[in-house]
Amino acid sequence: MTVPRVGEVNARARPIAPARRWWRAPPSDAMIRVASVLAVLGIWELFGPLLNPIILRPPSQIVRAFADLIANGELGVAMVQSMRVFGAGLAIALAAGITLGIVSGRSRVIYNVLDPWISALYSVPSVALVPLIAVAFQYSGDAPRVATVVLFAIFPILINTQQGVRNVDPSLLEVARAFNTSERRLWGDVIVPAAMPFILAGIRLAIGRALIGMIIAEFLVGLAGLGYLIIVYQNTFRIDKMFVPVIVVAAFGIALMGLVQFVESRVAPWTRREQ
Amino acid sequence: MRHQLALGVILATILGACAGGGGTTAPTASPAGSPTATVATKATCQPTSLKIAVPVTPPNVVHLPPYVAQELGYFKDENLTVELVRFEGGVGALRSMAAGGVNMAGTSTEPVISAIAQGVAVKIVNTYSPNISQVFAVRDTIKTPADLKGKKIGIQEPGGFADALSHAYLQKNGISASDVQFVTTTTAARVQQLVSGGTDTAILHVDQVLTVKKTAPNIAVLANMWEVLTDYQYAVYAVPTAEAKSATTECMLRAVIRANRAMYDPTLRSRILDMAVRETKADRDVVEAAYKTLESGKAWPQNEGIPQKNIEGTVKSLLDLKQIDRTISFADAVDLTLSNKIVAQLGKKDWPY
Amino acid sequence: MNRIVVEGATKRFGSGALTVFDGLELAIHDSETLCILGPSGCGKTTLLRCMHGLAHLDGGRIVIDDLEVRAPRRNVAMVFQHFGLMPWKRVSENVAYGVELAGLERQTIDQRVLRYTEMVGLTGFERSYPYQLSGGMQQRAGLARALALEPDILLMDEPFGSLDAQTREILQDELLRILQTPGVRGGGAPSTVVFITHSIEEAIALGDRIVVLTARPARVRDTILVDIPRPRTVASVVAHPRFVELRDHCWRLLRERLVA
Repeated sequence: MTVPRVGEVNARARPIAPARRWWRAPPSDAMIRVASVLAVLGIWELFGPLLNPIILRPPSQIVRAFADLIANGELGVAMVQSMRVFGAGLAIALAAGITLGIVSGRSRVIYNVLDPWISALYSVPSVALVPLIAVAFQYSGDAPRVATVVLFAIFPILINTQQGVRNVDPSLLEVARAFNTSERRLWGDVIVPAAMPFILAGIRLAIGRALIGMIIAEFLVGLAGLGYLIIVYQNTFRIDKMFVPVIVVAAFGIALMGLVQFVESRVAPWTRREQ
Repeated sequence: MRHQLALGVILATILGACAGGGGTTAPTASPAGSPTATVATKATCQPTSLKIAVPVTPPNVVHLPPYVAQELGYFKDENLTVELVRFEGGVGALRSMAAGGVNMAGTSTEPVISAIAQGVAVKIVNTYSPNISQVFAVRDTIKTPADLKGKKIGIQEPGGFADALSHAYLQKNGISASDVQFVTTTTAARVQQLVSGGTDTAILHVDQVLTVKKTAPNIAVLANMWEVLTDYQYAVYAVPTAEAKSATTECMLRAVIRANRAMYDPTLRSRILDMAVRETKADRDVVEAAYKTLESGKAWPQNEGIPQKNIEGTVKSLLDLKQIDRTISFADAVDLTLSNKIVAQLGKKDWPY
Repeated sequence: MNRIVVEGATKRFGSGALTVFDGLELAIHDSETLCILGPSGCGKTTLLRCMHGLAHLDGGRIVIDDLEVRAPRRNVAMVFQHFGLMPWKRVSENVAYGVELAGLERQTIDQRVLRYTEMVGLTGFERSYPYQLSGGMQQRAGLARALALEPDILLMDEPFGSLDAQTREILQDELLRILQTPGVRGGGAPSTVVFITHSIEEAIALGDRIVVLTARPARVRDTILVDIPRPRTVASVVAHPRFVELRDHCWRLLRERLVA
């Protein structure tokens, strides 16, 4: 056996140097981020009270508003309503988007059947279609809101999956053929893993759009959930309370995207090289 | 252009829904008395679940009657289980009714007239507030109408409600529109703009002004708009034309007409105020003061609620603004058969509407 | 004895507009390493793909062991210029890929992975992903994947073409060592090697014979016997007195086409 010579070994394969003690190390990216957020919050807290409370309230009051809305149950009720719609909508969008994406990425006929609709629906501002959806579902129950979330979320997933399947490196397809692959193994070994980073990127985009769709549906299809809270407290000039559902939605989006990124690092570790 | 497009989409939606689903809004209730029965014959309804759209969320004090009907059990008295479906704006409320999602819509009048002008089969049957109930709020450097010269008039969209009211006020006080500057803001930001000086005026509800004054004492009321623009219908209840004489509608209307009257009933006042504080999410003193102003301004109807001159005034205004392209007669827009019948049952009040 | 025979092979691209080769004749003997040397774009890679059944001829035929090639065969393995590793598979999974598809038993697969990972010098990197490896190490994995099949014919398409000069020489030595290991060469695997290159030095170092192709449409310009004894290393080949003569001969053959 021979050992690869030094020149051949990529730096990434070597163990990293032991971490320096944190107080001597230059500030990490995370520390700078936290410091940036804290600085803005601090300035906001200091100078916020100078503005009329109708316009802006300091963070401490928003924290209090958070406690109020949790204590009186309003936030819980709204979140349950919203998450039900968001969860169902995103789940449907994922299932349908990935399925349609794979099918249309593989079959030229299905691609040509779907493509004009996908292009058209994706380029139309989805907001304009919400009233039509509401009418189609007769404004009854969660259905029109779930459908709105699906409309907002499905296209990034579908298009990314489709592109992922269509853009598999042809040289890898040839490698698979050279080793006598079966069609089933071709999907498992090459096509699905190759499309996976595209699909996950699509899911990340879809989460953001699904949250927007959820709030818009709650604004337009009969007020409900977190969207209802936003409207109510906006219209009663309670900016502190209005910020609560806004922050909840933002935090939820950030958390979910982080989760997807975590899943990505587990499911598709090779994509880290691009970061 | 964008507004026209949006309006087109909305109206197409309504039209499509009505054409396709005319029968879907038929009530499940079986009428015990036929609509053609004599005035005294009172329809009763089988236990039924209904939805009524409300256009302002949370409600201001003037929008309370449907909530009062719910709170005081007037719907229950009619065997109805009613859900109030909340909307942000009359267009959404009206559209949900046209789609069959709700049985009756409380809405501002303009979208109903526009829809009727487009051939949509809806009828105005009653209201919770016939006249404009807003006020002209200004920064307190403006003491008289003459002070408005050179100031920034806050409106939401050219041709919209605030624009029309502001123009009417300026015109009535002999101020040319070219002497002022119109500044567009969003509905959500109109108060912030006023407080921060982005605009000098805003059309607001009484209770909104009182709430704002708590933190911004430099905001004042220059005029009550119901004294300025008299021939204008603010809000209506609308139902699909096919339902305008149905027993279910009669039951709903009886409940809301009783609620309108309850607004003036001193024995119910404290209960209504408690509920008002809860629903409007405003402070109690604000609610009480607003209530007093609206009561003395006769904001709520006690009879059929739809003065002919108001509807005609609204139609004329919409024609002038080119939001409709043909005139709509009172009879085209309004069906007061049931309201008149109910008022006769309950006894007519000495009240203008 | 001939293992691979190319008879009147014709290949055109662009619906016939571009003739890559026309009536090409070639024979590859059993147990030899044949290097195919030719200028860039002369169709060397296309010829190799046709030999493995990955591309089809427009005329003539290619016969391996008396059977015309139509699809990839179990006893033939290929090494690619672009390495062709699956980025989502670890080194061990990539090495196992071919034998898994061949449907061998798990135990055999594991033994083969162990053996050929060690043979190419990747022990300790089994759990690495390709992106964590240098190009040279990636091609070691590509080689192990092909060797793990224990094929008796190995088709190598400019396998070291994209590596830097130093790494390339290291891997040439490794390949010589592996092919000269008695157990491998004598044990039925891979006895016959077709090696595509555009490097004269590489062809001399590795080949028993060199076929020099002309530019498109490719024809066989000459076949050269590399009479440098085995076992070889790159250093021993370069130091051999025949090396310079062979190199100059190849140079002349390639250059006359370039000038013409």
